[in-house]
Amino acid sequence: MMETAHVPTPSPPREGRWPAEGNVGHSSTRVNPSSLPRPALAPEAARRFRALVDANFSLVWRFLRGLGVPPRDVDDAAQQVFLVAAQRLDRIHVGSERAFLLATARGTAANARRAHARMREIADDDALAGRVDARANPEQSASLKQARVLLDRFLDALSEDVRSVFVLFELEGMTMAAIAELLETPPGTVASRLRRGREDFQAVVKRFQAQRGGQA
Amino acid sequence: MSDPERLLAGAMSDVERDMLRAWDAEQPSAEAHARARAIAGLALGGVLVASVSASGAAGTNVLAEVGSSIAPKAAAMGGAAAKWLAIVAVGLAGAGATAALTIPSRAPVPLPTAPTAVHTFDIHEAMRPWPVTSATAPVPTDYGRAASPAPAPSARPPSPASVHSPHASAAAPPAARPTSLGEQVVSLERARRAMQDGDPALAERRVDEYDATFPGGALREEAEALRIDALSARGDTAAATRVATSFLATYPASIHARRLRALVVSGADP
Repeated sequence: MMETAHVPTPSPPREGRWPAEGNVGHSSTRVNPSSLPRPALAPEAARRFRALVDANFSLVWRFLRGLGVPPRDVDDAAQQVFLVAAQRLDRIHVGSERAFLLATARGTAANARRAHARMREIADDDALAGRVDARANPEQSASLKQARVLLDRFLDALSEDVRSVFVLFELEGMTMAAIAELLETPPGTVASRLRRGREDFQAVVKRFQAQRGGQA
Repeated sequence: MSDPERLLAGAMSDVERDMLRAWDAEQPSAEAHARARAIAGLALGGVLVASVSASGAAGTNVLAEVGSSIAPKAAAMGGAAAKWLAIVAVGLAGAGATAALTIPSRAPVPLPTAPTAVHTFDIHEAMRPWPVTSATAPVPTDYGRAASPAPAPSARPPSPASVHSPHASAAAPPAARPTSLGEQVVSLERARRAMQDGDPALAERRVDEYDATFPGGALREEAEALRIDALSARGDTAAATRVATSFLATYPASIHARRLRALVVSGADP
């Protein structure tokens, strides 16, 4: 068997982008050479990588969740983000690590959302219930679970741009300036996206309260 | 730019507050964090770096072997660990493919202990057994510098001196050695799963097995943290506190330190 005959000819990514390979559910065998590890990195690169993981893992993981990656997939998605970072470490400039990770997370989340859009809700409600229950006393858990589901529905209805800003500002507590820098977006645009997110948030809450009032 | 007041800081209804506070439950596990750190060891550092830098092109085949040797274990395990190992294995197997793509005219340098693996490695076979969720996201290139052209993707060319030096080749560790980190992950995953299944006694035995199989292993910190969790879950607070105290002395900057300090403090209370 020819080992390398089926591997596509390497072509440089155009503007750093290429079609997703190895889609979920298919045992794709295509390999994009530019996405592979560079095996000869020095030990200090490994140290830098570990520092990068320690400083950003929690943020990246939560950002992925905020972008709609379901609980059962988020660990894998986070691994994927950091695997990409490890592979491309020598192209990530010092000080730009977080911007790289968040941009990669946005792409990863988009793929994960597409792959799992259909079967998301059922399994995740259970996983969510388990996690919320572990952190709240029983009388709190029902309303917290409901609130979390509502939050997910609200976030799911946002555009990805608005969603990113809302998550980073309202849920992660970042400053607008930091968000503008990390997302490489003008400050005015960040502010208008936040406004839109907040309007939608209020609208969702009003709708929910109206429904609850109607049921009572 | 002055920031607006955050929603949570202002007046709001209970529903709004619950929605935003529900977010606090979103926290990654320490295990997920540790796995991300381990990518450095598997793909870029540790034993692998030593073998790669010692033997150049042969080193990339070592990576391919690690990938393919992890694969069957991952396939046999099922679940989260298998998926994670699969992702890593693909990354590693891919490193071998890079070498094949970029230096096709160079005959693979046989490894001292496992020459056949070099010739039989097949990226398709290596990737086939598991459904891999490696849908590669659009990746930003050259972050932090605006209009700099990205370098052409290629494997780093092997150093001719190291590739052809018999000493360097002989200095490469046996091919079986680099797999140990993957095996360690698999071993600890068993302990972690036992904890998840509510069997801390089994988890503790698994950690014992890990310690016995990999004395001084690279994931000792994670193993000890699991042991403390298992002791604590079994209700042996005294032992958990004792091990946690020793853990904190050894790994003061550990990602588990904060949680374990709390345990030590509460364990010391009457």
